[in-house]
Amino acid sequence: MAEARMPQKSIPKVNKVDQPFWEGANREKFLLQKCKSCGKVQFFPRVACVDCFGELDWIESKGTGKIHSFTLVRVPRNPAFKDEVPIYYINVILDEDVIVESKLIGDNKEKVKMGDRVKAVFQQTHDPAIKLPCFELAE
Amino acid sequence: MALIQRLHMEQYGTTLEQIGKIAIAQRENARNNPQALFREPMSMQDYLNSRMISDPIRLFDCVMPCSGAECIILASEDRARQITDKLIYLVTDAEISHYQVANMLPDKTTFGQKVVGERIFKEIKREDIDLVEIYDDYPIAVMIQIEDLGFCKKGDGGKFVDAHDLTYTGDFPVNTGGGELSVGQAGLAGGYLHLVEALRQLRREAEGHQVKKAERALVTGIGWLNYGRNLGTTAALVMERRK
Repeated sequence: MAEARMPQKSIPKVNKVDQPFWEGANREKFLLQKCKSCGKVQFFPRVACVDCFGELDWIESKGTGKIHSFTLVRVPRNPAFKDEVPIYYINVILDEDVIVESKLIGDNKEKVKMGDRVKAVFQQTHDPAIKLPCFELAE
Repeated sequence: MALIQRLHMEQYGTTLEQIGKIAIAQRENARNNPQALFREPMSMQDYLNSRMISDPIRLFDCVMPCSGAECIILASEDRARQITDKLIYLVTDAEISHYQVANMLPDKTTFGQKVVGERIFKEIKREDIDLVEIYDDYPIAVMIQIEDLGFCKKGDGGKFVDAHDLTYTGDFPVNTGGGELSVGQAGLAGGYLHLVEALRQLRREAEGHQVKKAERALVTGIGWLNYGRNLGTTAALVMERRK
């Protein structure tokens, strides 16, 4: 019989479309896509502009924004995350006007309120090639 | 869904008691449905005190996975008449995929049901619907769909719930058999529960929880709500009993 394996923390599966985003995250930069034709900025990464199907450039976000909504996950779907509960799962509206799903970390995260200013920080995962874009409350 | 519920509460002043009233009304319906898994009474205190799962979502906001299967037969009128004398007709239906897909700042408290409702209610009047079977992965999803379908204004779902009796004997019967919240969610078959319950009501076969005037029913389904954009499919249909 196979031995029961310890659950592993899930990490992003990088594909061709979002590879530049994850390479950026590994250099601690939060990258967005910008349409070469109409100038629309979009997130999450896609193959073409969602408005005009134009070709895309990558631009660097300032990594700042505000809390749009948040929840404290107390029962993670993947039990490997039990050591992190409660996980401060957040929606952030970046100053470039795109919405991002992420998590809030840092010592003062318990103080979070709707509309709070946040800044991006990057958390190393167990895979050396992957850093997770997370956020901290801005002072 | 926790992110969406918090936004709804923040933006529109919706209370936990208003959201809880949906779960409690559905439990009341389930108590009269022999096929429901959860048939014990649920009070507002029970709802509010249930274990926190992902704030502000509590245990009694969540469906329980269960086993189950459904089957319905769709046939031409001639063929159907050979099988049954209780025919139920499809009146109208609508569906949308990838709602708000190109919107970088989607309104998370509005689902594709908004577009679906506009299409459905071009064909039929809201007041001609006797009962609604609304996809209920969480009570807040029911409230949002009531708004999106135009039974009240966006943000007034809490007031709507306060003003109506949602049980099978009430003036706005919702999820008359208990919905997925109190019957259980049989995996991907869960969505069919609403269709089957509507058919039972219209065929007068809703043992113990029959809605008195059940001539016309609205049934909804929602797909994924990933990134708050409802990137899956949203659908609804109206069925009616004819002589």
